[in-house]
Amino acid sequence: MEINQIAVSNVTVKYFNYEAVIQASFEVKPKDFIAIIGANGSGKTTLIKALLGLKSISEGTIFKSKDLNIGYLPQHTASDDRHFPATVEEIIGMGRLSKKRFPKRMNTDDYLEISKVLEYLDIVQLRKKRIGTLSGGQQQRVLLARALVCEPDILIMDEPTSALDQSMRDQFFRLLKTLNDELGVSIILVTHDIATAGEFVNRVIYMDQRIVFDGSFEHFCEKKNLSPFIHTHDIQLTKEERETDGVD
Amino acid sequence: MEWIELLFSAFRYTFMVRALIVGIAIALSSSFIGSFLVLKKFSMIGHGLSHVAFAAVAIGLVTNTAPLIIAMPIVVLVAIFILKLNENAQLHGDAAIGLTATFAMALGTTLASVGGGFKVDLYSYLFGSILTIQQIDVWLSIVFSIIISLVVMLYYHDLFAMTYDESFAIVSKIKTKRLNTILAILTGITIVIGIRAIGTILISSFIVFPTVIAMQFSKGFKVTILIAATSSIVTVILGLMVSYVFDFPSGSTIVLLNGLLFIVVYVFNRILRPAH
Ligand SMILES: Nc1ncnc2c1ncn2[C@@H]1O[C@H](COP(=O)(O)OP(=O)(O)OP(=O)(O)O)[C@@H](O)[C@H]1O
Ligand SMILES: [Mg+2]
Repeated sequence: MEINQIAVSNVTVKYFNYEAVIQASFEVKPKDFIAIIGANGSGKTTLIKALLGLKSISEGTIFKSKDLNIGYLPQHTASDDRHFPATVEEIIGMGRLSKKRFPKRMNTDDYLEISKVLEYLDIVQLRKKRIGTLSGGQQQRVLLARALVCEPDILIMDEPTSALDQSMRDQFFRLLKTLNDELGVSIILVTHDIATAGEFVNRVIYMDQRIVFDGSFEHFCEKKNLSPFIHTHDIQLTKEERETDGVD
Repeated sequence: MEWIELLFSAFRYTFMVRALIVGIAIALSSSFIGSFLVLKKFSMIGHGLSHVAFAAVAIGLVTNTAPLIIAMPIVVLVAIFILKLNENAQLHGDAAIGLTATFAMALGTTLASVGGGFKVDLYSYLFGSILTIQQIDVWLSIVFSIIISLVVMLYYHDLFAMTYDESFAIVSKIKTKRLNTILAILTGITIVIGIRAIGTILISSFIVFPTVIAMQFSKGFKVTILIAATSSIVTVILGLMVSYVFDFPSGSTIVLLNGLLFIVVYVFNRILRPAH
């Protein structure tokens, strides 16, 4: 029997009186690759924030296995300030802090890990660049590098691909798939792009305040009546369109 | 090189040496603190707190207590108060600061009109005067600048993470609430120590200018902080010399030099490196 990395049970999260997430329950096992989908305002970000401890919950429990190392990838660079004076190396280094004790210092080990992750993501040449001078896709890679450099057991991401073009998206998802397959990193990601994500994930969680569906993508596609928001028929179509576009 | 001698002749006097020590200490602390505040887009807290310091000094003068002794706890408490207002998202940072600053200013001027006799004293706190710097100010500024430098060095990585991305810092198990409170307290202390020499009106420029100047160089975080501290110290030393020679008010001279330096660095940057 595999031990859950995360177990969410009957979690309700409120903003004042409004229940953004109602009675959510699900487990994350090692090597899970989960896409959380749902309409705007359905509570996806709120659920992620609760998981990360960024938002307190009003009911239920969230269990995280001891010493679970979480890599977190936010939607954008948190500071949208193009002039923020920080180099790629400094930002990735931030990912090493969770393992350190006071007084925190960077040592050769840390720089080695940074080098490794830069190579892995093919952004070695960006190391000394200032973050604000990079393109959206490059910044996304830097944030992924920051999430990976702590050698996480699980990656949690909120719409990580929203700034990427279609080819970058495919590439990004393939990269996640490799991490998932080869390093055994489990992954939770919020996405509006289930058409792309669908072929990579092993589970889909569909939210509408409550968790309405939790199962495989294939199973999800069969449930045509699930919601007016997601037409699985359209998903298939857009996927085919994309492929023919690619040939042209 | 007579003019160099003339500039350095400033420091033949005890009050100028005191001003120099206090100035360098304030330059160091305020540029360190300022780097984090400016980049968190929270630098206006310095502006707000300096107004609160003005009111606190007025209270000190009315009640016949040493103004800085009474200003220190008041300003530090208000710093924490502004931070909490902001954290609980009941009020945006700029609005919270706007409220506090104007309220404090109104309180200060009202007290001044009631107190009558101490208007001149209060005025000296508006623009500061290096002639009023006492031995105790020298010690206070040295001690606190050492404390502030130590905190910045020991918590450097946590402060950096929190400044760039607070959510990520929280996920990385960094105690951001505590760190923010420490930052607010240190800001309050820096402001109070600075008002005797620089004055309540100008002290917040010590928080903002060095970092903004350093950012023009478009470097990494650590280098930017070091440039900020250096430029802050250099402008203080130069400013004191120039103000002595030309008999200008020292606080304003230092701030003007900072403005000038900013323009030079900004223009230099646009011409030399038009790419970014
Ligand atoms: N800080 C907040 N204060 C009050 N209500 C909020 C706050 N953040 C979110 N909400 C509400 O909670 C609900 C869920 O928001 P959430 O951000 O979790 O949605 P989401 O599923 O991530 O949507 P999107 O796809 O647009 O990102 C929304 O109705 C929103 O209005
Ligand atoms: Mg969202």
